[in-house]
Amino acid sequence: MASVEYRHISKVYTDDTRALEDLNLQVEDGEMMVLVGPSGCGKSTALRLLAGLDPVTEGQVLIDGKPVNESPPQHRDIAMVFQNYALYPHMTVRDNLEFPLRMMKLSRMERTKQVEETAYLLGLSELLQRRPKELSGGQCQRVAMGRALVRKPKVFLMDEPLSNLDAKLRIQIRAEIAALQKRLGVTTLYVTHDQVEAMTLGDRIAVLNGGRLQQVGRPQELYDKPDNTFVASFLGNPGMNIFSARLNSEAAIVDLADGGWQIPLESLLAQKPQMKQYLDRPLMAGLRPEAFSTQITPSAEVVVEAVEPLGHERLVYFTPSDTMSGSGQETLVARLTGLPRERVGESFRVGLDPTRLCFFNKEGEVIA
Amino acid sequence: MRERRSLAALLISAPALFGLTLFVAVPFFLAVALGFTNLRLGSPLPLEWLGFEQYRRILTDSSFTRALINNLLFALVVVPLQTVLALSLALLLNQRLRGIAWFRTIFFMPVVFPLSLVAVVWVLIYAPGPNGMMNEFLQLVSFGNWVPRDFLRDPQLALPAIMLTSIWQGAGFQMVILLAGLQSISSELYEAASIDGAGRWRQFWHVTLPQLRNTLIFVVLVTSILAFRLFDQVQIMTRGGPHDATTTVMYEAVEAAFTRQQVARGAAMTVVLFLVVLLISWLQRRVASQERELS
Ligand SMILES: Nc1ncnc2c1ncn2[C@@H]1O[C@H](COP(=O)(O)OP(=O)(O)OP(=O)(O)O)[C@@H](O)[C@H]1O
Ligand SMILES: [Mg+2]
Repeated sequence: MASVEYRHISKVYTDDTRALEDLNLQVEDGEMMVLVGPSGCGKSTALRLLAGLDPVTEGQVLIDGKPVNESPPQHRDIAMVFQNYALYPHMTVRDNLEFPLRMMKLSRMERTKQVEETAYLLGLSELLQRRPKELSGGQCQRVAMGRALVRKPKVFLMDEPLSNLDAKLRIQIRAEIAALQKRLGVTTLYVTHDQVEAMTLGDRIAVLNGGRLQQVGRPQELYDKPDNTFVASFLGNPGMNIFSARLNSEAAIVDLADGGWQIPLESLLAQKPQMKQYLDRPLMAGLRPEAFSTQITPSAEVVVEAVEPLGHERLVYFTPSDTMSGSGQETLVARLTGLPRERVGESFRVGLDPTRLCFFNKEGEVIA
Repeated sequence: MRERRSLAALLISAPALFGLTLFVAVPFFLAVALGFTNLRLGSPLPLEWLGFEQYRRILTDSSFTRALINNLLFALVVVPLQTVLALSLALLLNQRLRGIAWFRTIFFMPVVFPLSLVAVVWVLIYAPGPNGMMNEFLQLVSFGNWVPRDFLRDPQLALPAIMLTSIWQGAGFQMVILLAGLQSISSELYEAASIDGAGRWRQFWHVTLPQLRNTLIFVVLVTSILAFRLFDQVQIMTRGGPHDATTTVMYEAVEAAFTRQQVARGAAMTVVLFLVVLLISWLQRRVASQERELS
């Protein structure tokens, strides 16, 4: 068990790729921290630096408060599940699981006991004599997990461990991972670019983009109060709608989506007094798809662009129809319950819940 | 359709098959057949069918048995030493360093030189007297305690001298093959092993060696076969001497067939050599396939 800290970490690869810029992140003892972000944002790099597989360019990596920059991987007591398993092809499943224990010079009896326990835990008991090439993707996955789990390490690192699995297996193993991690209480860094995985697994989530940390927090916190428009649109499926907003002091209204919806300025200012300084300036507003509804006001006439039925609910893509001509409106999306009634090309009225609006300045940073 | 295709295949391979038949199959069967006769060029005696008598003769010939033993000794010493040396070189040259391509070229160079040239150079190195390079070198490292020897005319030292030359010449070839094998090992395996707690040495033991197994088997097989075909160095450096100390099966066969014109005797010797090489290949294949089933 251990805490982990990245302190002012930068990583520049030999070809001048800046993979991480001034990363500051603390992971508490026993916590499950999920790193998310688009491809190439530096997630794997962050794990590799912690594991000691690559040297840091600047800053310090600390495990249990002690800097480990100089210590090689084999002295850090970290276990890692690689993005594509990296099982030892010449060893059986048993030998693969046993390998870390052999390196610890445990007695044969102790090793056998732990391998068998882990194999049982992951449903691998039947497969111990097989070789990696005789296993399915999901089974390889579990062996890779098992190799990390057999020796209770200080820290678990998992690099997109579910990326190669089918949807069903992914959900099943995701649940297994969550339960295991809670039970063992091992500090874990879990990398994924799948935001659903991030939301369901993480005690906290760290969102990265272009090598920079965007926001860290509990999943619900990031979902409801994103720090910027990147986090807002990255989390959630589909992400948060972002559209223009203007606090019109003359008419005492808030103009949303270029005249699509209007709400009284007074009520907004009563709720979010810090918005006063943004009167009559161009802003951006964000709203989750599920904060739209056909039952509530203020509502506006919109034109349906596409409808995606999901069984118990539907996603309706639309553009506000009352918008001033010439303004390039983006398509918005609403998550509505029930069967689809809308037809593409027709218009319908949709309302929004003004209390769930987020406001961002021109740079995309949150105001309120 | 199928017939036309097999006809085309036959046509395409015809030149190669013709060559193989003419230059490999025919001489081989000729050698086997001649081995059972008493053919001797320029001999007035009539050609006679001797059956296995020829084989009995050569196997009781002390020069030939000495040759067999020498070949065996040579293989037993050279194959392991050369393989270990080549593996160490390959490991060293597998680093990412500046100018590593130059080092690789330098270590591969001896392979490019013709064996005869290499042998001539080494005859100079082994020159007798205190001015010979090897003698001088040994004197230097032993702080003057080395008494100069005539390596190639010393019954104890002649064979080791040839072994050293051969290792120097052959290690580069093995090294290149092993280097290719090393480079095909995924770096992720080393990363996984280091995270699992393996240091440099145990990574070598548990990742490099098992991953290199097939390459190593190939290299050992080829080197063993080459060891039994040892000829050039012997011909140039010692001519089998002194007192058969460095004679080899190939050397004996060539001597018999071309110097003494005993074609049948030479043929019988090459057949024995062929059987020995066949036995080695078969043994090594067996070991290899056994391990594959095991692992
Ligand atoms: N060995 C390397 N040499 C040079 N650049 C590298 C190296 N490894 C990664 N990079 C670069 O660093 C950046 C971050 O890479 P990283 O592998 O951390 O991304 P990631 O977030 O894990 O992406 P993905 O989700 O696709 O796995 C990328 O721009 C990548 O091209
Ligand atoms: Mg990655």
